[in-house]
Amino acid sequence: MKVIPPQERFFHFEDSEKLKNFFLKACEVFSDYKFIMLPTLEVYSPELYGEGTLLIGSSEDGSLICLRKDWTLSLARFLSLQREIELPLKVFYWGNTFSLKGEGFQVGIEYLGEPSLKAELEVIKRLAQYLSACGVEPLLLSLGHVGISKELLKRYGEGYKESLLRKNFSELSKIEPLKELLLAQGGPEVLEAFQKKYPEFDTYIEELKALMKGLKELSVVFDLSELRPQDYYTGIVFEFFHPSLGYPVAGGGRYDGLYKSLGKELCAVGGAVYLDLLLEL
Amino acid sequence: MTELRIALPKGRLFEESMELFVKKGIIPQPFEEGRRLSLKVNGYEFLLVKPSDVPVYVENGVADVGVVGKDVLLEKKPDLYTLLDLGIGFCRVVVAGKEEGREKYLKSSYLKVATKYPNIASQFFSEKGIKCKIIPLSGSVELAPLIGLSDFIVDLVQTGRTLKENNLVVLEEITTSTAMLVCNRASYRNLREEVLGLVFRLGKP
Repeated sequence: MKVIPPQERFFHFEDSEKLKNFFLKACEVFSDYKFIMLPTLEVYSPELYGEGTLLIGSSEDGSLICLRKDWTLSLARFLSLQREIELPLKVFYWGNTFSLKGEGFQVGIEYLGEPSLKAELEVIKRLAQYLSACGVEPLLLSLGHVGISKELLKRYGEGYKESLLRKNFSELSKIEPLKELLLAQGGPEVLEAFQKKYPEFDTYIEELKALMKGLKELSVVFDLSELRPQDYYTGIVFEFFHPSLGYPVAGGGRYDGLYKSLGKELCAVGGAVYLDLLLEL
Repeated sequence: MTELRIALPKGRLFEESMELFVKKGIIPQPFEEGRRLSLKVNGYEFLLVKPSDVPVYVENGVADVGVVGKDVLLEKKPDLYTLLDLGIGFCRVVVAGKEEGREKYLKSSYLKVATKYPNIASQFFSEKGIKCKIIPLSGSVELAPLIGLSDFIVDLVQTGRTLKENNLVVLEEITTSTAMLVCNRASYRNLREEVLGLVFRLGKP
């Protein structure tokens, strides 16, 4: 197998200054959140990290060591080891992530132990507040719910997952509900239309509608076919877009299942801002 | 209405793209692949770029959508939505070599392969457990086995004429390729109406 070394990237003084200010802004905006530092070296487990993890060697006992791929996972590993956590808990972090593609820089927040939409509202609003504090405007918020796509994939086969992730109209047109899922993208009217046809997804759609009511100050679009590459998301997922960049500047969602897989009952919503991408604005 | 920016590949796929766009009523008549690299037609802005650069333009958001062969997508693995299979530009990605090399190809566990597609080639051979040395070239790949630069080549074949003229034969097919309509994550949302409008016009039979 070919091993691609991570792309090395130097941040010149100008970019370094920007990264510093992103951090200082985060300290300001998330002053009511608990700041956390987590280890960069972690023990690798394939079920948790999946493909693309940057392995760097083995430890004395023979376990594989990798570099932090995802703050959410690192935090979950840490918290699941704690015997007692005071809930609800709000955490913010700042630092790099590593994958075979290279190094990334993130600021992120996690809201743990809040099962209601209050958590989604809080995380989305605060990230929007942070982005505008960093001068990233105008913003477009795209909302989805992985519950719908996950159930439809169960019905029609996981083979369509790649097509959903790639929004492949040619492939998905073979199955009417998957095609309609793909077309359920746009303003609130797409929610109504989809709900009428597929009343079995009522709970999910109602969640999205309720969320929208609380986010009146943001420009919101919906995309019901949205899935995240990370499997741990279980509910509402979101992404922030800026008109002059081809990719999202921030993203996240609800991941109630992650802690369960680590042996702890804990619901959570989180999201991160991709700082290295913001440098291009 | 915002103008949609479309990256089109020059060369092999250009004429077929033009034909398709005219047939589906997106532009009134084909335009020439000339020196102008950017032109506005019928409410669209077209950027004429090197085929393997199409995903680069789209991924970075300077073009909203683009027409690109699956071969390029497999080679570059860009993070893009692949909205539609346009069904044009059919061709095959194959391993080719001299007829007398066929036995060596089937038996050898170490091959020297010249190609414009280093990623596709190395993935294909590593999945078969064959060690191969990739010799990356950017053109005239068919020459490599003739002058002993490589044993075999991995290349795109449309009619097979170039292979034939160079006394090469197809030894194995890796995959087939047609052109796809791709879009970046932001334009798919920011320009929803425009992108979906194009998808429907191109997708209708």
